[in-house]
Amino acid sequence: MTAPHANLLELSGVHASYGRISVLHGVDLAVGAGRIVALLGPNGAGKTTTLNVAAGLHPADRGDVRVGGRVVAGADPVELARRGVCLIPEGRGIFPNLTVRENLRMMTFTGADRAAVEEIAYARFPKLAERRRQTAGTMSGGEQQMLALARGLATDPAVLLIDELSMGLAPLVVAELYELVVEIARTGVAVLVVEQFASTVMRICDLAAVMVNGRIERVDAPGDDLLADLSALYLGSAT
Amino acid sequence: MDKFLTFGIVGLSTGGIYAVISSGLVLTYTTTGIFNFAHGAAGMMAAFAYWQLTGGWGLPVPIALALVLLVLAPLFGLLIERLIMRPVQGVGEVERLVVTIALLTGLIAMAQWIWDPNVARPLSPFFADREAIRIGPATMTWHQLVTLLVAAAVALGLYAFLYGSRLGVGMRATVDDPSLARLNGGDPVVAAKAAWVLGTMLAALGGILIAPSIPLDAANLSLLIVSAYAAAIFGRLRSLPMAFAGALVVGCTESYLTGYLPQNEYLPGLRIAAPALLLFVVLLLFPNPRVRGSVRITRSLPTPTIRGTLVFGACLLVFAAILATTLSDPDVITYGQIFPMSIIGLSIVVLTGFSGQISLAQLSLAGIGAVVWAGAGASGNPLALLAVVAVSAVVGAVIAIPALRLSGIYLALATAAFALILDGWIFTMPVDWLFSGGSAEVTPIFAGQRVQMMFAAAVLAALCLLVVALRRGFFGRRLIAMRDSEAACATLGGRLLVTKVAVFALSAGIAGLGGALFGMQARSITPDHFTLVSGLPIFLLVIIGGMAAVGSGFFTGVNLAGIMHAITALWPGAHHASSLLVGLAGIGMGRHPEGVVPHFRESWDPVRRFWIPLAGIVGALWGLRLLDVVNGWVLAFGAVAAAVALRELARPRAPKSVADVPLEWRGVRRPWLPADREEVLDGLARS
Amino acid sequence: MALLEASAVTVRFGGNVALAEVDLTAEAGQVTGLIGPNGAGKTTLFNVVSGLVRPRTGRVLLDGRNVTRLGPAARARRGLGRTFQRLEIFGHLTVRDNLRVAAEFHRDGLPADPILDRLGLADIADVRADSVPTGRARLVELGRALAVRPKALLLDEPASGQDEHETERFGELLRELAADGLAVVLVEHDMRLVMEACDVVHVLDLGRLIASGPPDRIRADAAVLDAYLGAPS
Repeated sequence: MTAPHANLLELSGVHASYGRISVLHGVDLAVGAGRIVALLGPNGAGKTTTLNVAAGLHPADRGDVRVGGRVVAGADPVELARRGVCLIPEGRGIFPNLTVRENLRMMTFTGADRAAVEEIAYARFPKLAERRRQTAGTMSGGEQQMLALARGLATDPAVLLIDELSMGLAPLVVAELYELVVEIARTGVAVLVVEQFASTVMRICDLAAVMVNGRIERVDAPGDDLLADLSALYLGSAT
Repeated sequence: MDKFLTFGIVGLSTGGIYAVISSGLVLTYTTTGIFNFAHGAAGMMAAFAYWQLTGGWGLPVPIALALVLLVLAPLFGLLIERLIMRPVQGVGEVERLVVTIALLTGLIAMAQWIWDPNVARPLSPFFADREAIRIGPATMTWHQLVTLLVAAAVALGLYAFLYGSRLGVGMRATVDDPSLARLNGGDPVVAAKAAWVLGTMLAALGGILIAPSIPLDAANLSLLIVSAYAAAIFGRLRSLPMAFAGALVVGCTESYLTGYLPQNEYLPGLRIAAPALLLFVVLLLFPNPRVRGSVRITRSLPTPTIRGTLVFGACLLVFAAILATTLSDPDVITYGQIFPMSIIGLSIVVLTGFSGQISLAQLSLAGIGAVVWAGAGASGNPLALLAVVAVSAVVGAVIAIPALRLSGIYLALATAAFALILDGWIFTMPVDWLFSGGSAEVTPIFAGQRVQMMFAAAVLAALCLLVVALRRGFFGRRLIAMRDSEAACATLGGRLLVTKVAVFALSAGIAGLGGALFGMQARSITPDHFTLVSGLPIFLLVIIGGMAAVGSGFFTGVNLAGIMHAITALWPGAHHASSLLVGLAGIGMGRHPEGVVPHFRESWDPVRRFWIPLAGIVGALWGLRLLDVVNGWVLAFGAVAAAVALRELARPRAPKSVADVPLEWRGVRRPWLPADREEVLDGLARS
Repeated sequence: MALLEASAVTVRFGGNVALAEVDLTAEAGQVTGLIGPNGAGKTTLFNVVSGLVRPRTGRVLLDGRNVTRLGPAARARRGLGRTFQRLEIFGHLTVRDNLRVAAEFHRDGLPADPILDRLGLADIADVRADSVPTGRARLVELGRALAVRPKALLLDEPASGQDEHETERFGELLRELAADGLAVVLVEHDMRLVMEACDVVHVLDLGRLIASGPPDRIRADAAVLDAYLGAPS
C-alpha cells in the first residue's frame, strides 16, 4: 500500500527530444495519489511529450520517471500499462473499427476481468451499454471519449494521464467528462491532465502547472492570476 | 446446364482454396503491414513437404498433415517473423517488398535444389478411392467436397478467432492503432507472431489442397497464388469477407473460362493468364488507398559526374575487350550476356532508383524488345534498333497509365500481373512475329560473337552516359523531387502525369534495347528467357547493388551472367545455391537500401592513385593470356589479386573522417561519439 | 478585390466536420494571419485552398478566377505557393536544386541563387536538403515556393523549429514579401510573430471562423480568449 499522499507519479529533470530538436529541458513534476494536476501552456511547449514520456511512448534522454516510487525510465508502454499507467491519448483513445464491447475487451490486457470491466463501464455510462454492438468510430465524439475514459475507470490504474480530453467537444460534454475524472481521482488515482482550455480544467484540478518551452514555469493553485498569465502566453501580452 | 454445373463445382472448390490462401495473406498484411510476396511460396514449400512425408517417406496422410500444418508451418511462420520480418518493420515500403520478393526467390531456389524439378511427384487427392458424389447431372469429387468444407471451416474459425478471442481482438486493435494497443497493454509483437503463424498455416493448407490438381512445380505453385492475390485485392487487402467473395469469383471465372472458351490456338494461354488478367483488372477497378512509396533516409549518394562515367565507360570497354580476346567460343556466348543484362538492370536503376516507381516487368519489356528486333531487325540493320526502342517505350508508357493511380505494392502487383499475362499468354501465341509458339531466331548486327559483345558493351557505356546526363539535368532533378514528395511537386505546379509516363517509357526503352542485345548474343530466344520469375533476380540484384547507383546495372549483369556462371563452372551443381544466395542477399540488403555499389565505389577510390601500375599488371596478364602462357582463371584471379593488393597499398593511413561512416554503423565501424546521438535521432525522426 | 478568396468552405472527414462554412480572404500586399487552437482546421483550410483536399461545398477564387475545380498543379501555375507543416522538402536534392526543380516546373521560374541569398541560405546551397536542420529547412520550402513567382503564399507554421533570433528575422522577411505585393497567409503558433507581422488575423475554432480583425482587436476578443482558454461557466 502506498501512503495516501505519496507521489504516485514523479518526473525529475526529464529531458526529451525529437531528433535534433530538444523539446523538454528538465521537467520536474509530481502527482500525488488522489490529486488532479493540470498541465497547461501554449502549443509546442512539450505537454504531450511529457505525457508520452511518462507512458513510455517516447524515451527520455535524461532524468527519472518514477511510478509508485520506482524508477521506470526506459520501460516500454506495454510494461508500464501493466504497472498501472494509463494514458488516454489526444483525440484517439479508442479503436474506431472495433465495437464498443471489443474496445472494452482490449482493457483486459492489463489483467482486469472482462465481466467486471463491462459492468463498471456500463454502470457509469448506460449509453455505452445501449451501443455495445456498435462500431466505436461511428459514435459521437462525446461517446467516444466516454469509452476512452472508461479505461481509466475500469482498469483500476495507479496513474491516469489524459491528453486534450475536450478536443472537438461541446462544453457541456466536457464538463460531464471532467466530473468523471474527479470521481476517478477520488478513488486514489494520480491524474495528470493536459488541457488547452485552461479555465475549464481549473474548475476541477488541485494544482496547475504552466509549461513554456519545455520547462515547468510555475506551479500554483488554480485562480484568475494564473489564467491572466496564460492568456498572455497564448495570445501575446496585451501591452 | 450440367456443363455449367460441373464447371461451377470446380470453380467453387478452386475458389475455396484461393479463399484459404488469400485470407492468410490479408491477415498478415493487415496486422503487420507487410505484403508477403512469398505467401504462395510458403504454400509451395508445404506442398513439397507434404509430398516428401507421404509420397517420399510413406507416412500416413493424417500424420503427415498434422506434421506439416501444425508443426512445420507454424515454426516456419515464427522463423520468418523473427529473422526476416521483424527487422524490417520500421523501414520503407520498397525495402519490405524487396525482402519478401527475395524470400520468394530464395524459397523457389531452395525447393528446386532439394527436390529435383525434373522428377514428377504426383500427389493424390483426398479420398481419391471413394466414388464421386452425384449432384443432379453433375458430380463432385470428395476432394472438392473436402476443399469446400475446409474453406467454410476456415471462414468460421477465423471469424471466431478474430471476433471472439482476446488475441484476435488484439490483432484487429493493432491494425486500428498500434500505439493505442500498446497503451492498453497489448503486445504488438505477440499479434505479429500470431499473424505470421496463422498466415503461414493457411498458406500451407491452401498449398496442400491445390497441389494434387496441378504438377508439383516450385515456380508454378508459388505463382498460382496470383489468383489469391486478385481475391485479396477484392477485399482491398483489408476485408476478409470480401476476400472470400473475391476468391469464389476468381475461381469460377477461371473454371468457366476453361469450360466455355472456344478451342483455338490463341486462347489456351488466356486460361493460364486469366488470374493475372483478373488481378490487373481488379487493381485498376478497385481504387486503392494511396500509399506513399517512402524512401528511407540514406547516406548521401554523390551525384554521378560525367567525367567519372566516362572513366567507367572506358573500363567497361577494356573489360569487354579482355573478355572478347581471351574467352573460348562457348564462353563468349555465356559471358557475353553480362552487357545486355547490365542494360536491363540499368533500366531498373532509372525507374526505381531515380523515380521510386516499382516495376517487376522489366525483363518482359526486354522480351518485347527482343521479339521486335527478331522481326524488324531480321536483316541485321542497326536502324531497326530504333523500332525496338520505340515499341518498348510505347508499351512502357502503357504500363505507366495504371502507375498513375497505383503505388508501392499495388504497382508491383500490377506490373507482375502484366509480366504474367505476357509470359503466360501473349508470348506463347503461335504467331510469326512473336516466338512462333516456340523459339525465334535472332540475327545479330555483327556476325562475329566477339564483335557483337564489344558492341553490347559500347551500348551499355553509352547508355550509362545518357542516364548520368539525364540524372544531372532537369529531368533527373524532377524525378528525384517526385520521389521525395509528390504533394510538394503538385503544389509547385509539376505535372506528375507527364513525368511518370516519360520515366516509364525511358526505362522500358532501355530494357527493350537490352532485350534486343540479349537476343543478338543468344541468337535464339524463347519465352522462358523473359518470364516474371527469371526477372525477379535482376530486380533484387539492382536493389542489392543500390537502386540509385548507375553502377548497379553493371553489378547486376556481372553477377547474373558473370560470377554465377563462373561459380557453376568451378563448382558444378551450384546453380541453385547461387540463386539461393541472391535471395539471401536480398533478404539482408532490404535493410540497407543504399546498396553495395556505393560502398564498393568508396572503398576502391584510393586505387585511383595507382591506376598506372594496376593497368600495367592487368595488361601484362592479358598479354600472357593472349600468348597462351596462362589460362583464363589466372588472368581473372590475378587481376583481382593485383587490384586488392594495390588498394591495400593505396589506402590512406589517416583514420576515416566521421562523415564517411553511415549512420547505422556509427559505434560499430568507428567509436561512438556524443554528436552521433543527435544525428541518429534526427535521422529517425525524419524517416 | 482580394487576391485570394475562399468562401463558404465545408469539409467533412467521415462524420466529423473539419470546416464549416469558412470564409478566408487575403489581400495582396498584406500578411494575413490564421490562428486557432489545435484541431481547429487551419491546415485543412490550406489543403482546400491549394487543391489537395476537395471541399464538400464552397469555392476558391484566385486573382478573381474560380479555381475550385482545378488540381493543385494548375493552381500553382496561376500563382499559388505554399509550404507544409510536416516538411515536404526534396531531401535527396541539394538546397539549390530544391529551388531549381521548382523553377523548372514553370516557364518563368526564378534563378535560385538570388533567393538563397535573400533567405540567408547561400552557405548551405550545396548541402543535401535532408541534412538541413528543421528551422532552415522551412526556409528552403519558402524559397522553393518563391522560385515559382507566386502571387499568394500559404505558410504553414513556418517558424516552428526556428530560434528566437531566426523568428525575428523571419517576421521582417514576411513584411518584405508583403511589401513586394504578395498576399501572404500565415498559420503560426508563435503569437509574437503573428501579432507583429500580420495586418489582419482570422481565428478558427472547431472548424468555424470565430473572429477576424487587426491583431490588437483579436488579442482582446472575448470569443478568442474562450477558444483558447475554454468557456468560463
